[in-house]
Amino acid sequence: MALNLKVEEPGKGVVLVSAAGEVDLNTSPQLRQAMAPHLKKKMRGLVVDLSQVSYMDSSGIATLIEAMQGCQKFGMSLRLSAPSTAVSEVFKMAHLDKIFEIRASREEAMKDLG
Amino acid sequence: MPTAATDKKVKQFEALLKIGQRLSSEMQLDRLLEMILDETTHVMEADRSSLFLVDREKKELWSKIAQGTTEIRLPIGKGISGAVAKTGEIINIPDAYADRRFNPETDKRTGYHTQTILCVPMKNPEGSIIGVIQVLNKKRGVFDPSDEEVLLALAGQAAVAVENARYHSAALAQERMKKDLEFARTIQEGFLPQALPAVSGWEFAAQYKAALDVGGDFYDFIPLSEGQMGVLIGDVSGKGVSAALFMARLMSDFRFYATSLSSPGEVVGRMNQILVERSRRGMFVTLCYLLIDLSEGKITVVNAGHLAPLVRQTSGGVVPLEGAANTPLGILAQQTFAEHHYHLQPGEIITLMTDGILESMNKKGTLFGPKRINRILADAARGAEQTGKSIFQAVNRFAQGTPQHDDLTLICLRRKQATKAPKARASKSQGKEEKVSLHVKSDPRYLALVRRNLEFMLAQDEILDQDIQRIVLAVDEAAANVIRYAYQGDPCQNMDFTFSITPDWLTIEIRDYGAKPDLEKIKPRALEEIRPGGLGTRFMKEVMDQVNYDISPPKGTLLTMKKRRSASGGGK
Repeated sequence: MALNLKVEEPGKGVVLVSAAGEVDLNTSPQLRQAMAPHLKKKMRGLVVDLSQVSYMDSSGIATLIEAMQGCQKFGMSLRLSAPSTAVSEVFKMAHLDKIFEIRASREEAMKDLG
Repeated sequence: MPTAATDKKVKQFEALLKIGQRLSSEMQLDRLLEMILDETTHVMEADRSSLFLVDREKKELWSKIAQGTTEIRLPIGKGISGAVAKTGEIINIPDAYADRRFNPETDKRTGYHTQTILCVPMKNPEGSIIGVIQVLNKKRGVFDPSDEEVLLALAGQAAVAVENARYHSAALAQERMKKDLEFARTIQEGFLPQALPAVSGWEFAAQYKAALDVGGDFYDFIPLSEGQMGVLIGDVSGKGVSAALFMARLMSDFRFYATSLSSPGEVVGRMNQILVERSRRGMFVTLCYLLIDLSEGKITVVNAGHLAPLVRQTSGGVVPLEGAANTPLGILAQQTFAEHHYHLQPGEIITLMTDGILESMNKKGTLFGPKRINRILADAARGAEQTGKSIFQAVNRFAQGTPQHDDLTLICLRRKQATKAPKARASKSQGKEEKVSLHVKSDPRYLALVRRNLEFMLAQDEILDQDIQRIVLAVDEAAANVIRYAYQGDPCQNMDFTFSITPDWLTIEIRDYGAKPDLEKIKPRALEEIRPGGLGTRFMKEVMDQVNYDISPPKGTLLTMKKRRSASGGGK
């Protein structure tokens, strides 16, 4: 199953990546490519909307960790919005549920960023 | 009293009338042109004549025969004949070498000496210029206005005759082609199945549209013994009658071998042998043959250079069944044809097609292409018939009436959803084993396919059902590790999966044939460590009760993961 990605800039310095589908070894490079160009100076935040992601494996997690490290480098915040229970479960198994900034909705995730 | 001048004129027009009659009875263009030149030279009392026809597409004048010379092509607008063809005005040159419009190149080459030239347009009755006639070197004196008038009249006659002949030969060729195509179409349609198979639990649909020039598409549903069905689709290279005859023999041979040999790979191999012997002029065949076990949905695919069948999963995913890429039939002798296996789940649809669909073209020359197919398939869950119709309608809308030069063929088959999921427990409580085997290439694209198969199997089991997501994750991680580490990302290697459920255990085996792991290094990462990598292995150990790497095979590794199947929650 494919991964569909939409990239928007809803506010100045804020990028919203909406993912839909499955993130695995096959599709995680697409997610990486969608996020990478926006990790740069003068950006404030990256929001990844996971509400439509039905599956994520360790390569997806690794991609998000990479993005988090990139955000740190440029002083940006990374926020994940509305992961499904299946994806939340994987974050929990990886003990990363506390490390990522996870918000209940994309509106929540975008607050105070712009 | 007629003067000498008027007498001459009368004679010329009598000649013209005669020519007109003769010309209109000659329908062969080459002979007609020759005749026009002979008569022109004679009537005009000239030394030689030439005739050029307009090639509108290339914006050129061409002449197959110019008396005394060979075929010539000239750009319209250039030179004397070119200028006449462009403007439609007569050019009359009394002294060639004193006129700047004359180019002495041809004289130099041929040794001819041009003195006088008269060149007029050939206009058809609608007034458009279809060519020019040029006469050289009047026997006595120079070409005068009455010569111009006569040659113009002659050119008009010739124009009508040329158009008639052209129309006639085009009409003849068209008539012959139409007869051929009707014959080809009769053959082709006579051999394609007249009805769709009716099998409970399955839906079959086929759509077929012959191209204008009848390609060599074919398909067949072959009922076999013991609840099996053969489904065949293919394309003979070439078009018209010869391709249709080739296809007809192929289909009857295929039916014979499909019913007498049990392995689909063998059937296709035997057909290849026959076609290599029979094939002439480089004709070859691509085909895809599916052997379907109707009771369980197990499908054996043999693909000989054809488009990969597409599986539309119930989740909306579209996965190509890309097994071993075999060569087309009829090219190389002694080929073996590898089989590929897929377990079609209830609700899933397989779509088979010929490249006429993908290569359907719209007015702008854009191809329909695989993405549009995938979108239609993914878009909505449909029955087999509706899926086929949707794709055909989309192709028609896309082509907007642009004539297609290849046949369009599409087959859809769907395993119907069971009205009630079978009770897996009943069989397991009798100590039976449920087993699914899956062979895929080490391409990350197939990970989704592996997950779907496993998900389906686990969903049938009321105990493992609750742990589907975690188990699927563990298996996916193990497979991803094989791709990344054992095969270093090479997508063309083999991975074999076996999932089995017994009353006590779920056992998952993953066999690879790549680099063996360093067992010391396969350790789950410490919890505090959040760097990427190693996470997958931790997931595997966390979900499963046993994870064991057997590196004893001469090549590769057998990974066995076990999870206890106990309703009391004794497992993890």
